[in-house]
Amino acid sequence: MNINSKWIVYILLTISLFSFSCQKYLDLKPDKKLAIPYTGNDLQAILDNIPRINDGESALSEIAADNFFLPYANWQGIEEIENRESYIWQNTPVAELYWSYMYRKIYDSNFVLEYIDKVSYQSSLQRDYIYGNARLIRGIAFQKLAEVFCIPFWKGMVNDNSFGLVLKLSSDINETNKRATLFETHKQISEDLIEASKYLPPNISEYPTRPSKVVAYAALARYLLSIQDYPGAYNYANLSLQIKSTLSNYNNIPLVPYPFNLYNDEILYFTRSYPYRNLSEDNARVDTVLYNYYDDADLRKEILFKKQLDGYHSFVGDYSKSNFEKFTGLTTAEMYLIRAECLTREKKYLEAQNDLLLLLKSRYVSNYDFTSLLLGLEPVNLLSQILLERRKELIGRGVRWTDIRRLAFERPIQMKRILLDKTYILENDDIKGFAFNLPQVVIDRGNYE
Amino acid sequence: MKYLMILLISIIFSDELIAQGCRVDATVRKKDDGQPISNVSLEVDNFNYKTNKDGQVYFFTSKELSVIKIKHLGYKSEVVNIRCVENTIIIIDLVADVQELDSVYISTGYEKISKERATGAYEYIDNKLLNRTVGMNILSRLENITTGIHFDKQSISSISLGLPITPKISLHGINTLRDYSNRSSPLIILDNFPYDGDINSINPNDIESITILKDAAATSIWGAKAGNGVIVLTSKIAKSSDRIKGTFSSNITMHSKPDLMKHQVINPADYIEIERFLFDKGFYRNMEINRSRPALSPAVELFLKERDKIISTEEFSQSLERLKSQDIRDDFNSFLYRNSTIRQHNINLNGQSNKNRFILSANYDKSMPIQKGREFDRANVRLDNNYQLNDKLNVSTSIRWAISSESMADGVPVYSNVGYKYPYMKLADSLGNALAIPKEYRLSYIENTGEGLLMNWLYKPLEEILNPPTKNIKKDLYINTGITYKLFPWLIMDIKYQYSDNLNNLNSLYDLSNYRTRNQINLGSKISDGNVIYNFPYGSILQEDYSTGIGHNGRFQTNVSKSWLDKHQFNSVLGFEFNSKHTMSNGLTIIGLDENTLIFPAIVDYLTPYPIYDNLQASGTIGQPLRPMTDLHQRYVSYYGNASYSYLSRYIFSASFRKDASNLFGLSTNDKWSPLWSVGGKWNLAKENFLNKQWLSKLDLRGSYGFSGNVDNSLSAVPTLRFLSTGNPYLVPWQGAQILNAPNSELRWEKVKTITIGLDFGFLNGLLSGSIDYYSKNTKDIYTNVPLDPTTGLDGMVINGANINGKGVDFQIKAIPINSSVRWSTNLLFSYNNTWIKRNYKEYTGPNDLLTEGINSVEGHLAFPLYSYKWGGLDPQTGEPRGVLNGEPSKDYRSLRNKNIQPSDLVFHGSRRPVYWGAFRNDVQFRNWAISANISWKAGYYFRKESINYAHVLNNSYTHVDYYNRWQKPGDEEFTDVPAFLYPLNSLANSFYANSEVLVEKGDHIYLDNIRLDYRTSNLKFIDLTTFLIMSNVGTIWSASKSGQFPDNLTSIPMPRSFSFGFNINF
Repeated sequence: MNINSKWIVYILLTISLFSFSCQKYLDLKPDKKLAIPYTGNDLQAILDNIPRINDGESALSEIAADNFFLPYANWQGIEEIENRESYIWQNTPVAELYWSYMYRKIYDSNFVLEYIDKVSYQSSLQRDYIYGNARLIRGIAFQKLAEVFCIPFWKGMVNDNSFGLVLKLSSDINETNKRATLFETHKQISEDLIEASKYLPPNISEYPTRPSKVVAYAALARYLLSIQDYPGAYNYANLSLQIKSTLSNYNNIPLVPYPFNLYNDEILYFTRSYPYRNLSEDNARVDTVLYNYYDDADLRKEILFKKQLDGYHSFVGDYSKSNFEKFTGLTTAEMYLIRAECLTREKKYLEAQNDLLLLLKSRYVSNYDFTSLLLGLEPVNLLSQILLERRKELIGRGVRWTDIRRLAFERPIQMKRILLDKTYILENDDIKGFAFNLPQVVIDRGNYE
Repeated sequence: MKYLMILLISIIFSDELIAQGCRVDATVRKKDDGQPISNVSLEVDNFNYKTNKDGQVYFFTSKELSVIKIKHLGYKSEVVNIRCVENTIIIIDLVADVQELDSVYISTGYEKISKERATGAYEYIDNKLLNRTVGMNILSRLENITTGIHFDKQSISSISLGLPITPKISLHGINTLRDYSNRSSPLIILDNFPYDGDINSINPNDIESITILKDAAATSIWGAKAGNGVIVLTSKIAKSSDRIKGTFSSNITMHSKPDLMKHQVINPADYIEIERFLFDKGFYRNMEINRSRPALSPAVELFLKERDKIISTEEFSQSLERLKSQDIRDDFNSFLYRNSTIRQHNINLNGQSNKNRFILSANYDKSMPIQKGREFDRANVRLDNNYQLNDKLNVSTSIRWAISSESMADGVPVYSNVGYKYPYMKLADSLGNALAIPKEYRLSYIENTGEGLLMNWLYKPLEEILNPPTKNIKKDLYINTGITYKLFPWLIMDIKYQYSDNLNNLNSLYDLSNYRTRNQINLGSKISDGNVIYNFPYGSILQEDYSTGIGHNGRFQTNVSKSWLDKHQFNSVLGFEFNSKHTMSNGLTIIGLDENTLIFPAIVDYLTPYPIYDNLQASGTIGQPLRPMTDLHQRYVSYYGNASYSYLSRYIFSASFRKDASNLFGLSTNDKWSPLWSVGGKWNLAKENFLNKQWLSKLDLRGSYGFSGNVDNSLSAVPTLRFLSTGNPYLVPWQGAQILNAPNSELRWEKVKTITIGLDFGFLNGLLSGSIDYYSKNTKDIYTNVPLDPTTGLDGMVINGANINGKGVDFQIKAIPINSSVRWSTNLLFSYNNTWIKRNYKEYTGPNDLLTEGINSVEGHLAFPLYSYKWGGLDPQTGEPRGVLNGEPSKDYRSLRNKNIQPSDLVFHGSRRPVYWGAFRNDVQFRNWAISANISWKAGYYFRKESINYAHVLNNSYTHVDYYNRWQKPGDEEFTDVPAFLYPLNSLANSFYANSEVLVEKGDHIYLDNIRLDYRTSNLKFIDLTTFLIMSNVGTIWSASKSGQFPDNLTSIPMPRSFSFGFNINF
């Protein structure tokens, strides 16, 4: 029957026509905001994700240090038992995000490094930048993790029985990992930072959330200081100050809480930590001994601190303008202090003093006469003075714990906390071998020791 | 009751005629009016006869005694015995039986199948049962009248009554392990196409019936979306009629206010004692000195004044006693809550002119929910036209339009499951004037600051409800067209197209009468020289969010229906369809608006941070006014077909298949396609000769086996980046991107394999009928969120990581024990369903896997188990809770919850979800009255009841009554399991107690859902009027739990009773 077959042919034709256009029809992206990494800009955007990359560093280093203390009632009021225990250096698992937030940065860097040759670039300079940026982020992340989860390391240390970090160098989630040695960990950190310093460009970035060569130098200066490589630290602090050395004059800062602009002139690299409530303005109080070290002519005494109703002072001078997150980034002031300390250790006292003076001039009232402060200082006192200045300048930044850990090897440092009737003491030997315990979730799921 | 009138005229010459047989002339008429009925089937001695258009038929019978069975649709079947003596004339009157109208055709969305022929498991809910309850939401009406469907009520509280909510339904269990409340919903079909819009925009009066497709034979035709079952909503269609007919109906439902006093909290006066204790411990110290001046409770303010000697001891005790006598629940009842009312009005018109049949409906609902300040209105219009152009061509069009508006009073306090902060506040004074309550700042601070130049900073809830700022407006338009063309007598071409346009607009205007606006403006104010500088623009704040969705659905289908030799019947459907949905959203905020002139500031600095008033916060930024846009496209393309063959109307076989593809991101086109199929069979045993019994009217045995699936378009197989506007808060010009997921090239669809065996039975012509189904569902490649070691950088990843197995039984039985002037019918529904994890690629990482809410995925276990820590009693010295570690009581909470604790070390109670549930419904009808009652029951499950949680005590002022039973001194541990109140809070001990076995109860209960009374006024000339009264949420008949908490809503506040009164007029 002709009619039948004609219709059947029509129907089949129509159906087959549809099947060809199906391919195109189904290729439409379901969500315009999704993308597969395709260009260098996509990779750069991953590294520009500030909340993930710049924020969220572990604050354990400042929580454990002696710049701040918690009055008993405030300590009691902290809900998370892990945070109460970290304050008194207990050997119990810490809160999870101190580990996991750092490993997110490491994941993002690894991802970018894996895709770095699979995307197209505007120029080879962009590729170099992204490469340097990723290695810097990873190096700093490992460094900050090692500061709290591994025992102190110094350059030339031989004992290799202690645990390092989990050195995750790929974004493959199926990898089984175990903790590397301390030596391997520190080798990785310095490699990452040195590579970053080679690839990042010399021109300073418009906003300090993005790094440049000066940032890599500063990071290396800070790191090498922490492992007692004073010549190396000197070298990099010097290089960084040669690129940027401006200091903010505190005489021009208004006398209100959190007076600093979000990206003030001193900041080389902007990062912040997430400390729960342990370090918040309501809870934490500045150590009274430290507070009294600030001279009356030191503008920081007024600007950085606020007296509370209980008679103690709180820290309100954070560079991050938040009473909650704490600024942990790199500044020119820190570079001056590093250079000064290394010069002192090299016995170049005059140059060291000059650096110190430059910094103090921007912190004290104008025209202050420093001669009484500095003239006639014995060399050993100069070092102590510089170390004290480090404490006064870098309060809240998370570097004090690392300083304690390296200085414990040359001074009889002891840490003490008093909570009502209980006293907790960390002896010098304890400090030299102290490392925080990994979070419970990480131990359970990762099978680490 | 039978009315049988036999008129016998017999001739007394019996002997000669016996051998020849006799002739019987039969006339069949309607009992009501005596009109003859044509086409009635008479079965005599295995021969079938049919009456002609005059209702007459004749036949010969040779037997002495003959049995005649008379059956006709819409009428009660009759059986007549005649003794054949001479030629006989009989008249048979049939009684109309509206009840027994068997749904001859069920709609699957692709075709209408006669129930006889259907091999799949379908449940059909007719119009009468659907309208047994009144309610704005069509799916809510399915509750407790079907088998196999479970309603998850955990997110429903008394506050949500009268508001448009989407019920969380699961059909035949849960086949997914992720975010199950959203991804377990069955597919909803409306007007033959999948409906993904808001359920609340459907007018329930437009729906004629609902068909639930339960097994593979039923659902596999819907393919990759039907893994959770399918619910088909069939709209009313225009019927042919000689005049305009219609229905007008109207009803009003009222809910009483929830009984807040049933909330199991301690006396507010006793809470003040706890505040005293905390105050003396210095708990409020840093709040007191905090520069952001956080709000303090009135009791704490009094303690401060007493300490600082600002008030006298007398004044202090008087004020404290006054506070202790107050309870905020009284004020909630008096001022913030009301009896809710819902009014519904609907009119339906049905008419025909020439070849055009039409149905027009209009509906208006208005709801005033329990919470003052909220309101919901909805209007629907529908016009459906059907043109039978000639005997081959039929064209139908329909337009459905809905608009709804919901106003919400944000910022008004709600009394939730954790009560309300400051349980002893008063919201109004004795004259009813609004009082201010603390919200963010201390009252003493905001009353005295600002030199009188700032805006009123007080927060008065009673004023907030006067001006609800937010309105959510939704508009939906659906246009359907269809053409059917009968190409040959056995072949019909069926083309359908649907266009949908959904608009959702969320509009909030926060003006100066809202606390929120005044707060923002004050925070951005700076006082200098007696003047105010506004860093945050002075004026109202307008927030608009829009989302739109445009959908196209198209289908081209051929239907074949052929029978031959009166023995064989073949039906088949073959088709192709596509659908696409494009949704977009955007939004903006305008500040400093004068809503009368519509003027707002031309230049606003969105980026520069400004100082906050009096340093209450570090700084504020106004922020980008435009909301991030979204643009989503969803596309599906499918081929499908099914065929069924039946022999002698007794043996039926069917098969169906479907191939779907979607634009799942990142897969190559080949991998996007996935075929799904099913086969089914049915055996109509009642038709078999060996089972031809009078009392057996139906016995169908059926079975099916097949596959359907689940796809999630938001997942991707390749690493994807999502761009985020993260730069803005940090004042940098570039934005960031986040890696959404680790690459997974193995990502594929979830596949559901279902085997079903069912039996439908009917005895004694409908006196007893029912069905029983047994099903087993195996779902492979379920998407699971596998938690990862945080060292990997990701918290978790979605992979196809588990197989689960579900089994169930649906059983329904209906009986009509009394059927005369009084008619009593009873329905018993029974459902059983349970799900197990068969395989899971996720490692066991500790008790947390089994204790957390939601779906637990440990291999070999129930998918929804309730596990608890073993209880080791309270410590006799301190009252701390103890677990059991290595056989000994232990307070080492860390060890009690680490990975070494195996499931066997925990206590396994049973299922977290009801394993058995059902309903028992009775209807009694007497003359013009009818009364119906429905009882629902649930069994086989456990729940964790609320108890004291000291973290809530400290943070939310929520203190459960178990506080009174807490351990206070050594020896108490013999009588109580409630831990002591320890300060500082031991969060580990607190969460241990919350997950321990002492807090678990059985959830089994029996509940009287509703009672309905109808009265039908029958002697009116042209109209038919029915009035009804319904009482709902009547109460609990029996409950296994002793705590007085409701396992389904997890609260101790009962759902308030409601009354509905309404009428229907048919004309």
